[in-house]
Amino acid sequence: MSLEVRNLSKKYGEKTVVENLSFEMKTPGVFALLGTNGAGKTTSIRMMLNMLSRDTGEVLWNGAALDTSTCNVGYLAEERGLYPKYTLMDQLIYFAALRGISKAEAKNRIRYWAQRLEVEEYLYPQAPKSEDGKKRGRAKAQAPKKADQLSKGNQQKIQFMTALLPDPDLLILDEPLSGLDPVNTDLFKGIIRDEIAKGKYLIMSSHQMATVEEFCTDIIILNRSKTILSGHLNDIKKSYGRINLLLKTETDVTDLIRKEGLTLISAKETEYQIKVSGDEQANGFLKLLIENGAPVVTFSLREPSLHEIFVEKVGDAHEA
Amino acid sequence: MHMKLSKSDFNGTGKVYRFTLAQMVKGKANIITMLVFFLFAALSIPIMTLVMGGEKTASSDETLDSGITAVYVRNDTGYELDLGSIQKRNEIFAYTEFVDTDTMDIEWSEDTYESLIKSAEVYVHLQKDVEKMCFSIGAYTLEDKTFSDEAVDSCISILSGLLDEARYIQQNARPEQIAVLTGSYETNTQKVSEYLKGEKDDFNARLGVQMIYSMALLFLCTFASTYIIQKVIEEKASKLVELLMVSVSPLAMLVGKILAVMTYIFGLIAGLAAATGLSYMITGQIMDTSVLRQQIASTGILGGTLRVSPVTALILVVSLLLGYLQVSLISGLIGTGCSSTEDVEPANLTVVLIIMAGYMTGTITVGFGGNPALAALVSLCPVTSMFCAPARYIVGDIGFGMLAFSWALQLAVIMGLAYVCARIYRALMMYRGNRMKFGGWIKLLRQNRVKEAESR
Repeated sequence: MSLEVRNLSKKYGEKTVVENLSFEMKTPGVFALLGTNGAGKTTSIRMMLNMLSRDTGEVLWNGAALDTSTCNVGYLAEERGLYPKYTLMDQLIYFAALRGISKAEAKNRIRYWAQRLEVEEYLYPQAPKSEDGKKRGRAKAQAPKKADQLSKGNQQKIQFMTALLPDPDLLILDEPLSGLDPVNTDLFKGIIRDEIAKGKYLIMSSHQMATVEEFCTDIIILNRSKTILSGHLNDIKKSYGRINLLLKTETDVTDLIRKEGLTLISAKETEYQIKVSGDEQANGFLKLLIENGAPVVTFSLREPSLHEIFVEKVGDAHEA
Repeated sequence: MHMKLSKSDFNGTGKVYRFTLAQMVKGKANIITMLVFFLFAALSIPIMTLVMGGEKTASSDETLDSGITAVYVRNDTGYELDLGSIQKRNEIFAYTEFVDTDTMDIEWSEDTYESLIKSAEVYVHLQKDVEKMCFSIGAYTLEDKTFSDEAVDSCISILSGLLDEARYIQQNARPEQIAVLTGSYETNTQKVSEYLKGEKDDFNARLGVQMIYSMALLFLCTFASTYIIQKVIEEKASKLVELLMVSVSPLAMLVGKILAVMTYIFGLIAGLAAATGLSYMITGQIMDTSVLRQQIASTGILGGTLRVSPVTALILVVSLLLGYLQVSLISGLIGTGCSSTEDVEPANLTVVLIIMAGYMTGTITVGFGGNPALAALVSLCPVTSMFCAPARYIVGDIGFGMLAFSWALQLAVIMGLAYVCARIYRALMMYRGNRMKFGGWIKLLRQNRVKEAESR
């Protein structure tokens, strides 16, 4: 299986919202679609799924035009929605039916995902139990829950379930972790990890760079409709080199940093983040520290984080 | 992206249809509405029968009984009346005894007169006024009579007829001559232009047909437009559209809803008709439902001048369907051009105004009589045609050819709306902003046409 996006473009009147977006996924993994607000990420996803018309471009799944009626796609939209007044079970069975899943099979899958996402109590309301754990004789089972009776986080779990129910080959997650508490974030991350392990193709749009970095193998960064960076994440990082120096000393070395002509990113007491041009400059600075008798606690040289790359790239684009 | 209708545009329609219909049937408000409607339908017949005076229990062969047990007839005209023939001649008096007071062997005095008049249900006194050369008939009833004034009027009428016959017999008229002399009249008042065209004055019937049909379509369209607009906007406002559009085409989402609402409403109408019919049958067992038939007949809608036959039902169903589809598609488009639930009311208002324009035109133009140009105009013009064409056909203002032409035009309107849907519905579904008006649709259509041309 493979996914290929070629030259997607979209204009609203005179305003270009996506310009020649292209990328490719030849193997299973996670592809990250990154960008500032309004950069065109969601529009790109909507075009890929034929929700919006394209001015130019095509999306190929296994070499043929991607069609959601033939390609098994799961989609968690950025704008989450559920029918507020219908029962959750009815809705989930309906969404599953729309993806061609029989009612019986849908019920099995709903039960599985309800357990995984810890929302069983909302989907399978039971009669209230007494303190000793036994059912009360005349207590009635609770009415099935409706979407508007759930918290935002639990609604998000149900919506995630709708994306997972068809056991999709291609899973598109638009800001999947936004608005979740740390516990549920970990729950979602665990499921995403499992889907990756199953060999699924995932496209993820997110502002949370740490999360993207945790999962994604390939990225594309959009800014104001244009692609400003794309490629394999490790390659991109390598291309920058190890330019981030984390230094912790027992004495103040600010003067030495200035003397060496290094860029100080941040300083907290005697803990510094410094930008260097590469290994050679870093090693020279370490030698200087030792010569000046500065006791070094930590000296760590690393590649830039995705966050730093993003900020730098978007900043450069804005300056340009 | 394709801009013309294809089979794939309707993929998933069946699933949307089943889900929408199931939710409609499950909805508490709809269940209550259905129950109220069925209760109303079931109770309407007995209540109307009671209101119209059909409360008296009667067996089927007594339904036309006058309710009078005995009529005492004092005949001072000098002519011999054949009172015994009344029961045979007029079925409403089949169980009424007409007693000639001369046969009662009464010595007439003020006392006997008073006692007789007090004991009789109906006491009729026929007299001859020699000076004025005329006859008088006086009918007197008890205060607490149980029969209608109409029955007494009929009694006087039949006795006056007998008196006429008796006079002709005394003049040696033969039975056929008597038949000619006592033949009944049918009266008719109308304009000479209508008379020359052979038309009858049937305004009540015309208005009745127009009102009944228009009310049915009004109910159907108002309910449908309200529901469709609400559901379409609800899906957009609750941000479900994207989730659904991964699995089902936007047009299928609309068509599924339209079909579900259609099934629900037509099912409701069929159920109401069945409930009313059942109620009529049951009520007929315990009450006199002939008053209802008489009441309906009095409106003239069962008259011979109207085209009422089993085919009429088919014509009405086809017309209702066409009207429903037009309003539903317009509602879908207007609803999809909205983005928030705050737009439900103005969107509804727009559709209601369109519906009311057709309804009012249909009702008002009935007052202009059977003007052929006007009948053709309102039967063919979009919006008014769905309210007017079938009613005008039934009252005889237009022929079947004109009705078929009206249907064809309505079908063309439906196809046109479907064409607009195919071109812009997807874009409308994703549209966010102020409620899109007619100008916005045109702009979208143009944009799509340009894109289509560019892609060729």
